[in-house]
Amino acid sequence: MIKVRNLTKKYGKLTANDGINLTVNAGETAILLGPNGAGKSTLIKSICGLLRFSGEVTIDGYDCRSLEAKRLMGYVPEIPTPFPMLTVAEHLEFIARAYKLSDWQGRADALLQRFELDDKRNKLGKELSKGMQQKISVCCALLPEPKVVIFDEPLVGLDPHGIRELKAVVSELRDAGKALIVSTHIIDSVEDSWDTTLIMNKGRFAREIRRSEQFGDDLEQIYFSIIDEGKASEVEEGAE
Amino acid sequence: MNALRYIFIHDAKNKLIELRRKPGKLILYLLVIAAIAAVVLLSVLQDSVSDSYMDILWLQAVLMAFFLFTVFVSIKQGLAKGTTLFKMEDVNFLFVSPLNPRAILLHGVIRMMKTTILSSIFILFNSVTLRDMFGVSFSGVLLVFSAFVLTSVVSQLLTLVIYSQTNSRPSRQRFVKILTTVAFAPLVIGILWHINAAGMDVTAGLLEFMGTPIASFTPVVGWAAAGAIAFITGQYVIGALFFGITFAAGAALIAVIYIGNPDYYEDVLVATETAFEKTRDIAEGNIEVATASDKKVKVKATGVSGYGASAIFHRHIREAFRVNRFGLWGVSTGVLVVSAAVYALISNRIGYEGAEHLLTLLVMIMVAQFFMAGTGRGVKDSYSHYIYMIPESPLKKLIWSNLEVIFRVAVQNALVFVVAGIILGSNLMLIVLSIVVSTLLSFLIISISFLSMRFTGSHMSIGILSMIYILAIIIVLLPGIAGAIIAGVFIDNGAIYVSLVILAVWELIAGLGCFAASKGVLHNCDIPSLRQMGGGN
Repeated sequence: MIKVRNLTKKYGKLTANDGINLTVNAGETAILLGPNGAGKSTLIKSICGLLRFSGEVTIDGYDCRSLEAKRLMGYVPEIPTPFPMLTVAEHLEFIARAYKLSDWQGRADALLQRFELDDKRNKLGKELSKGMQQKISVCCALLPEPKVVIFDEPLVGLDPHGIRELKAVVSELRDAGKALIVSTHIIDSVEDSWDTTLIMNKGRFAREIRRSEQFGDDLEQIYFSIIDEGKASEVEEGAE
Repeated sequence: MNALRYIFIHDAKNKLIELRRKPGKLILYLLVIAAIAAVVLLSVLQDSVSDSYMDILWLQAVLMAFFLFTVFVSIKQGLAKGTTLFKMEDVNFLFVSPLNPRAILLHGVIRMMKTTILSSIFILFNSVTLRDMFGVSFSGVLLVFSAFVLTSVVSQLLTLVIYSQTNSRPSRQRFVKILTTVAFAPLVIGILWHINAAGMDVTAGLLEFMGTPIASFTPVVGWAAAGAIAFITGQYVIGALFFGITFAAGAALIAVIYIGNPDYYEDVLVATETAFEKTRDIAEGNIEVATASDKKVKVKATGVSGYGASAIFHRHIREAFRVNRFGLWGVSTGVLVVSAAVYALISNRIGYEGAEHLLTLLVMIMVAQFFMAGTGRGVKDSYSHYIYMIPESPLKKLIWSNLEVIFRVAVQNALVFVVAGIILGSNLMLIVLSIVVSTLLSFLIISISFLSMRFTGSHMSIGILSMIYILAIIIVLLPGIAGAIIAGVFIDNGAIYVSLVILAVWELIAGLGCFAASKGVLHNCDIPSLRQMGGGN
């Protein structure tokens, strides 16, 4: 469903993503783990067609920037950007109209109820807390029923109920055959909802772990061994 | 070394060192310095093109209007949320340190003065205009600059004092409102009285009023304006007196904070945190929330119309009517139309041909659009992912997302030129062409902003690239202006109309060209960010 081939993204001299290859099939969840500055958000934005890059990204066989791919994709950004002067309900109506959706009202109501926003339908975007803004962002991404959903640090700012619901939503979407990418740097948040975990460091995948594999240590130990190894080699290079 | 002095010196030093790493910024600063130097040299070395000047009292009136605006905004801010004398790093590091709160306050005031001086530099760009209109020498321009800085500093101190003394105290807030009315009522009554005495002749009445002590003795605004004008006209003692009173008012305000309330941290905390949140929102690309008004909005009508890309335009209209009841046309439109009417009334008294004044107004409106057209909702939308993800053609999205600003400008310019044209007795053709030329300029400016996004990764109309952006607009406009001038030289009858048609056609062609070249910005480009790198990591 999501295919990334040799993706490289540079900001001037800095290589944020270096020759990334990735495949996420329908009904799979890929977790991007990595420290701040590893290149997770850049990779996600590139897959969503929000950044220029070299390489190839396809969504169900369509170029990620094509209209066909956009119809299949939902994106929850790291920082929610609601429209300050639109109400909660109007955010969903706007998405429904812009995406030319039909019979969307029932789905919108269900999403608002699930994320405890149904009593805030007439609240403006600017009046919402960061957590509420994040919930609106999730609802807008899910309303068009995308086949591919990409979450960038989705749990940041959510309250415990929101975290529980979002984790449940991620599991349900996977069970419904959607392809999902979730980026995070909070290892505990992903312990039971993944098929592939990709540990990113310095713009590359340092390790790809499939749940079906016998990978011995737990994710946290693997993660820190890779990151600490990277730091040690950096120090050695500096000393030379 | 004293901690605050250490911060001050090292902050300045690190900013200079940073310029070595950012040559673009350095070049920009050098360009600004060179432009100021060029304007200053022009005003000093070149002879004035005018042999008759407007009454210097008009300059005093203009200064007073500017100062009034500054002071009223400060009073309003003081009653609402305070000022941003401090930064978040002051709160986190200095407020919790064992440093003397009064020394920290002084540190904030000095830094604010530095910022005010830098932001008032635009006045120096008007040296030539001030010389040609009022016969003001460069030293006079420096006096106007000083008056500006002085008023701005006093205004900010006033905000802080009002906030710290009235915060959560409704009775004190009422007292400040009454005091403001008492202080400025003579100004309003005086103006109306003199206009009435002049047989409802607005310009004669206004000029008459400016010569009265009521104008000069209006608190802060009158003192600073009168001080600058007195110095310019050689009345040094009176000038020193008025500047002295203004300075003393600032000193008194500092004293009120300094002596009266050493425990001011709580008073400035909310404003500092709010300002910090806004800066962070902008840096994170949440530009719509950051620039949204803090005003409480009552939601009445709801719903968004449109289908596909047109939903973007309908969303803009819904948002605009939430911001104010007149939708796309708010206070700024009203101010613009009234200013154009006042300009036309004053121009009528000077007695040139109506056409000349309407063309001067056209130039002024066009210059204003350089700074305003790039701030529409379409530009703000491009900082959010939504517009990129909508499955519609990029060109359609670009057009629908910018229709709002074109529509707004077209109606606004129609009001401005119809009102001014009627007062000036201009003919219909000239009015219509002025509306078309000024509106098409907005179209061109927006197209250049999006084209700049394609090549630089950000809107040049926002941030430090804006100077280069203005230069780019001028360069793109040049062929049209050149064509218009050539037509003006070679055509005997109706040269003005032909010139304006040529300029309008060029704006349209260049705008379409820029839009066509930039249609990929919503398809294949980096989503702009006001932070250095495109993403979080």
